[in-house]
Amino acid sequence: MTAKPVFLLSLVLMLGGLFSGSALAQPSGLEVTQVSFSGEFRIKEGTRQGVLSLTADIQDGWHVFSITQPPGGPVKSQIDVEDSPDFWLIGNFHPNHEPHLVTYEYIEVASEEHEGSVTWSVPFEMPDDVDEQGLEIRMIYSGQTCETDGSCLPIDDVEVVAEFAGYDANLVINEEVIVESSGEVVAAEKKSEEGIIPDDPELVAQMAELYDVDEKIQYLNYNEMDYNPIGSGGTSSASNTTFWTGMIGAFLGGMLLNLMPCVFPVLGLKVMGFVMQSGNEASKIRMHGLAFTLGLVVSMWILGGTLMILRYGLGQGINWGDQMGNPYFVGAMIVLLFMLGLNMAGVFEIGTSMTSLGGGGQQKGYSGSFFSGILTTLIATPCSGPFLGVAMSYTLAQPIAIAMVLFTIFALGIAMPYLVMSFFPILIKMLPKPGPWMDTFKVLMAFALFGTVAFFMKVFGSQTGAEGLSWMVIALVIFGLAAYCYGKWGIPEVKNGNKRIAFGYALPILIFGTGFYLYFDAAGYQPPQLGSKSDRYGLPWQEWNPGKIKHSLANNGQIIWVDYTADW
Amino acid sequence: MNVELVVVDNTLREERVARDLQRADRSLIPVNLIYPPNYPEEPAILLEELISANDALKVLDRMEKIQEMHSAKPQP
Repeated sequence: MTAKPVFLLSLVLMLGGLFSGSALAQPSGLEVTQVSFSGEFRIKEGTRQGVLSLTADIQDGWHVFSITQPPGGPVKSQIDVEDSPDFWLIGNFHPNHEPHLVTYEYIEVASEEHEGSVTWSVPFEMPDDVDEQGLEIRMIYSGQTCETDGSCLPIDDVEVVAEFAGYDANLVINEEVIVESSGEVVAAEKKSEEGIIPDDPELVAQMAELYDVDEKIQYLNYNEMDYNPIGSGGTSSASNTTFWTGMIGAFLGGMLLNLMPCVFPVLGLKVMGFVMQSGNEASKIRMHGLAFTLGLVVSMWILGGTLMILRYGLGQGINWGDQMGNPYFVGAMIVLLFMLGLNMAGVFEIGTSMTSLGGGGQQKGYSGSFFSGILTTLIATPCSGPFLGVAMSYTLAQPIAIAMVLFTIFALGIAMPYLVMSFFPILIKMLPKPGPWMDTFKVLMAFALFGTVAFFMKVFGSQTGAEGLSWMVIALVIFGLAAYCYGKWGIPEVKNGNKRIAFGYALPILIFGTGFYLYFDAAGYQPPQLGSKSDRYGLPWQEWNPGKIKHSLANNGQIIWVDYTADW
Repeated sequence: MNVELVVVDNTLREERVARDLQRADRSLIPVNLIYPPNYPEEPAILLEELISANDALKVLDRMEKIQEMHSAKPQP
């Protein structure tokens, strides 16, 4: 067998993790001679804390894999520490050196390999009455070792017993401890799981001393850059924005917001509504347009007014769209949009169906138009688009009365395209005539809504972690079931009244209640770490802290690119 | 050109981030601020909302020039 087929076979086995229990695998428990293990622990002098270590000495030409090896690649190293009342871990295992990243044509993820020797360490603590000198800590290692371009062997459940190795006054007890090959323990600078590099806590404290939250940033707006060449000393400021430019910005920003992906599903609903109105009287169409605008303006007043009261009345440092930082709000949006999506997909029909939401019901349906105005405000608030940054920042800095005028202008800007259409029915006649195509369009718009749900789910996941996200998915399944039951039995076509009440109303309410409980529970989860997006290009983004910019400018003398961003 | 990249994650709407944004007269994200190495002698450049690759390159070009001038200048 040539080297390449052997290597390919190894890769296939690595990918499937087939070694354990497979006919091709070595029997479980067979000793692997290519890697030997040892363990020890040291105690920080005068404390009850120490560092537990497991070392793998690997034969030349062989390697083991990291404990952070992502799925889809070889089998990662795993260390389990046997529970004991005599100690408890206060961190996670970290290696004394980063693994080598090796990419193979046949594996999607990089292979994270340790060669030679690697020591994984974890800090721990002991109760006062435990004698460290007689303490034994049992660890179980499992993983895989592979020969470079050769075969792989499983390492199943190797027991490693760590014994006391002495006291060390210089031992650093930190969740991020790392043991260098010399045995010296130092604080590690490591990448977080998301790829953002956090700063050492001591450095963060130093940075904070440099920070002055009241010190204005000297900046130039990008569009003013050309008029302010290097050395001119020109800067921009909020005072460059006047009431009139702020108003124009809010209006144009509102109009253009309709084209942003987050508001798009509402645009679809409205287009559909207008198509259905094509046969209606002009006065009714106008009323729908006005009801939609009213819903938008009123909800904007409520939202903007609440924001301004909180901001100035109660001194809360909150901003436009802050509700998106609340997982309960985001979760509620997910549920609402998901139910609307199911409604449009035909799973169930209700008073606020697609027709009335769009504003084109055969019946009056003005409440549907009003509601779609509210929905538009709710969906639009976390979005940003051209002109809005300056306009909203200016608005929030104004007294309440002026801010409310600007919020109204912003709402009118969003409503304007629909308002124009409703006042000029000739424009509606330019849209396609109602027909069977509308059913297809309706279902497609359901998918657009589900797309928005997916967008909000990403935000929700960042706020509540994988656990919260998975419970939210389960909640959605349950909401879907409630919608189905209602759509199946809660309709007038079900003539048996008792059946309709039991299966069409009571059962869906019960199921919906369960879903609501799960949604509420899901929104209460915390992410394991305040993380952020990793950079898809592998750029080493650093975590921001107050004072970091000043600190970096003073110490590194580099250009600094600061990206204020969020998952939503 | 050496550029230090700093991300300010506001997914959870932190007040400290809101207050820091206020220092640049902003309330809404996304905001990108690019500081020259000799800031505040030269102002930072503020990019907002939608930016193109050309915008980014134009700003970096300006920053590179500042960096060159800054490096050529005798340091105290």
